[in-house]
Amino acid sequence: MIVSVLQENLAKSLGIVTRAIESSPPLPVLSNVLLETEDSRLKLSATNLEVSITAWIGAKVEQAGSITLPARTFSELVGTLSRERIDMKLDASTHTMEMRCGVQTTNIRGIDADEFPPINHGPEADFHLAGDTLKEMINQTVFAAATEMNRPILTGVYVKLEDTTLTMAAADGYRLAVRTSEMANSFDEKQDMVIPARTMNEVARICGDDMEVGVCLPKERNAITFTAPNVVITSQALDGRFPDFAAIIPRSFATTTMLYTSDLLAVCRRAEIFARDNANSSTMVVRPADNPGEPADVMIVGKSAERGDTEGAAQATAEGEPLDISFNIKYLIDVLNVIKEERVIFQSNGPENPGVLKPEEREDFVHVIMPMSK
Amino acid sequence: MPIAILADEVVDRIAAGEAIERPASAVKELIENAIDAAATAVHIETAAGGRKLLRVSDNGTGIRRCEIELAFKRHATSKLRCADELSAIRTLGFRGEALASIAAVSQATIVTRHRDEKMGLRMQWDGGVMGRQQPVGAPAGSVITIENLFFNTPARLKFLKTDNTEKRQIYWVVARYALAYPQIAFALLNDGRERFRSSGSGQLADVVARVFGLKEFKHMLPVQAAEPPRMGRVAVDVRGYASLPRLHRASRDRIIFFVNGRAVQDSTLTHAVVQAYDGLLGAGAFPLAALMLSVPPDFVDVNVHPTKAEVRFRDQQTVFRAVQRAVRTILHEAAESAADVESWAAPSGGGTIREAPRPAASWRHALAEDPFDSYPHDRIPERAEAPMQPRTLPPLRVLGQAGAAYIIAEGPAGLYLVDQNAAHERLLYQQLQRDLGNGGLPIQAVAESQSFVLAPEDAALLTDTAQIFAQLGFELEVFGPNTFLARSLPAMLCGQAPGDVIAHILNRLRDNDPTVQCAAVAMAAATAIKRGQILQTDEMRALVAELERCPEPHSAPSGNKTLVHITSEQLSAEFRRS
Repeated sequence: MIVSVLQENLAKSLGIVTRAIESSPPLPVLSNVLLETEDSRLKLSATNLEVSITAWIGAKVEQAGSITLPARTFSELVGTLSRERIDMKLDASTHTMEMRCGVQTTNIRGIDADEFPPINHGPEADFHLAGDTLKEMINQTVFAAATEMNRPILTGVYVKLEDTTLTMAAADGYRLAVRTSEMANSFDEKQDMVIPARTMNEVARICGDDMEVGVCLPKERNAITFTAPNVVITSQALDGRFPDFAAIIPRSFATTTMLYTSDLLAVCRRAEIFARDNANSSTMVVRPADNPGEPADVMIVGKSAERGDTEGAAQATAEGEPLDISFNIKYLIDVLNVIKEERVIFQSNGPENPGVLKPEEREDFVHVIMPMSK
Repeated sequence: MPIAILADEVVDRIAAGEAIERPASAVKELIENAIDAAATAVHIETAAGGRKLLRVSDNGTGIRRCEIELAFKRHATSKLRCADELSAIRTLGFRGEALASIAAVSQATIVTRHRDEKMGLRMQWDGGVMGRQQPVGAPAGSVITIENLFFNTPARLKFLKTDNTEKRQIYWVVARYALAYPQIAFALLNDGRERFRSSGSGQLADVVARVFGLKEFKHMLPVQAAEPPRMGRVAVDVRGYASLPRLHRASRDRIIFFVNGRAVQDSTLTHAVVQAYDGLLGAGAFPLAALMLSVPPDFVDVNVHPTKAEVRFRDQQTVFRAVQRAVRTILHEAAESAADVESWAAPSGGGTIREAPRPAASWRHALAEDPFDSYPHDRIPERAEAPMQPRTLPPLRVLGQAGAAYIIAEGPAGLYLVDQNAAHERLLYQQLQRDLGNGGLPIQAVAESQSFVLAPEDAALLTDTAQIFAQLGFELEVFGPNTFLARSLPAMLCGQAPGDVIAHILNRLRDNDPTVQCAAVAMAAATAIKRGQILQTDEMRALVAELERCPEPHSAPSGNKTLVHITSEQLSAEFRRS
């Protein structure tokens, strides 16, 4: 194997594929990156047996071949090399890769490529999505997925295709995020699956603005594949049934408030400083104005029994009943962080009912937070 | 065989078996006699665990010459005259069996002189048969020497334990009486070596320090609670010492009781003490205590058992409550003034790890002498916001984690290993206590209620204790047979399977009094950081920083130790540096 690549390209794609590698993999070869020549490209792959990432970069291939190199040493070295051409030459008998770049000559010992588990990415994509839409959909849902393993199904993002609508949802038992989008393709037969949140985060990272991402839906091996230009991610779907979340989203509300996203976020962050000591519980106080059109009083209160308290007013208009409702303020901050619209709508049916947030004039993103009490 | 009345010596030996079952019981009887004889010094000497020799000398009143033969007769006593007096016994002995019983199963010699008499008397007994009597010169008091105990009851002899066991038993008999009578100077010699000595100063603290050890004594608090007599209630006076929660043992054997100066074993009283530590010590950890109860003589029946080790109270509940309250009170006070009690400063004797000496001031140093540099940096608080609670541990610097279970930290006086699970459990429990006191726990509603199934037995208990769970913030609904739905959960449970936590709490409630306190202990245990969990440095720092100001940082509510302190001296010794 004799191959030349540009340092820049190699460093970038290593940064993408090595994210599939676990910190302490069960097999030594799983901490390595697989390098294979493919026509005039170099193919890099890494896997943790659940998620596999492959990336291609342009290369001058003099002699075909394959090897696996320890990911950490390899990427650390490549990251520090100068922005020049890297010439690599494999000594197959010792599994040692000789790398020359500028003034630097390096030998890295690897493991035979045959020991690397086979990586099977899905075949043709079933449908395509705009990269920026996919990225936004993931970012607006994935944070709500559970991090604790006590209900494994909740550590994933639910994905559903029905007619021309793509739905993504995530929930951790205390909050729920649901985002929908229209697709060019139509699926007459409903298809749904749950993809690990970790995979979704990686997919969001590779999504760019001006790209199409192909999706190959799980078939017999229950794996989903996302294909971006020069990068492919394949992941096992989670087994199990995602809870039915439609019933959790209320349809009518006693109180509806409209607030400024960044303003509310700032007030929430201040409340959080004090709410920390109190299981992050902060209270939102909504006092609708007497006459429609006048500004309402909306306060976010954070209290600590020991350190003090803070109260911040958010600009708002409100309709309906006055409301005093407590939330885990972190949940509120999390969702406000992923809303780009200038204004958000907050709705609820009282202190013992969930609070619902959505961007103004949009029906495709809904976030539900369960209240707290004392 | 026709029925016949037993011969005297047979009766004596049978009776001896009741009161005198081992050398320690003989010592007990003889010490009681000495105390009843108003001795101020009691000297006990043993050889071969008391098997060969037991000698108890006292400086009490002694026995009159004319009474001495009678003293060795069964049911001969100077302490009781009629049955009515039994209900108001103020002396330790009264059954009139001790001397007769001992003499029946050994070779005994008594040398005694009554205070009012000029001449003493020596008298020998051999297996209950009176031997020679001769007048001797002797100091006032009695010296009773028992040789070859049980020589004529081989069965009893065979059942004796090893010398060491018997020695320990004797030690505890002596220690108990020394505790009960701090004004009497006791001395115990085993095979010629002094094993124990009390000063007879009258200060209980002196004796407690001797019996439990000086190091342990530092972690013990005086108990003093006189129950004011109320309508229909008897005044129970409780005095003594009880350990701080950080000092504990794996068994109950250092919980010692005296009722009106008599050492007694009473499981109810022991339980009262253990209960007082509920939430401070847990399974398998028991406090140390020596408590003296004073009750009116007619309130207690000591004539239950030949060795008088058991007593019966007219109203067990009153005594139970008095003991529990007395101990609880001092524990509460101790927790409140934890900062004062805890001496976390470097131990005297220069145990501190000194700051490495600054490099010798070179000329460059002298030039660079900046007024800002000389500002003592340690005056800046280690955290921008220190909570208001007083410190109970020195400032600790987290160094790392060992075995995914222990946080390694360094303090001014050595190394600390913090059990992450136990420490977090303690902090969560403290948090729960605070929240419960502040009107309730933060409760998080659940979006999509999760059902969980319990074992039928657990389900029944959950239904009975629903009130406790509601107080802790569980809003549960019955969903089907043995199946429940959680509508809201305590916020601190966030992310944990409610079914598991509830099952854990139920487990504890089943074995203990079902109270909110008890459930809180279990909830803290079920939600604490587990062993085996790898922690980030800032997580460890936060945990340790909070522990530093925790009122009771040394043990988890379930009783596990939270930290081990390895002093600088220990480290130096380990590396053979001085």
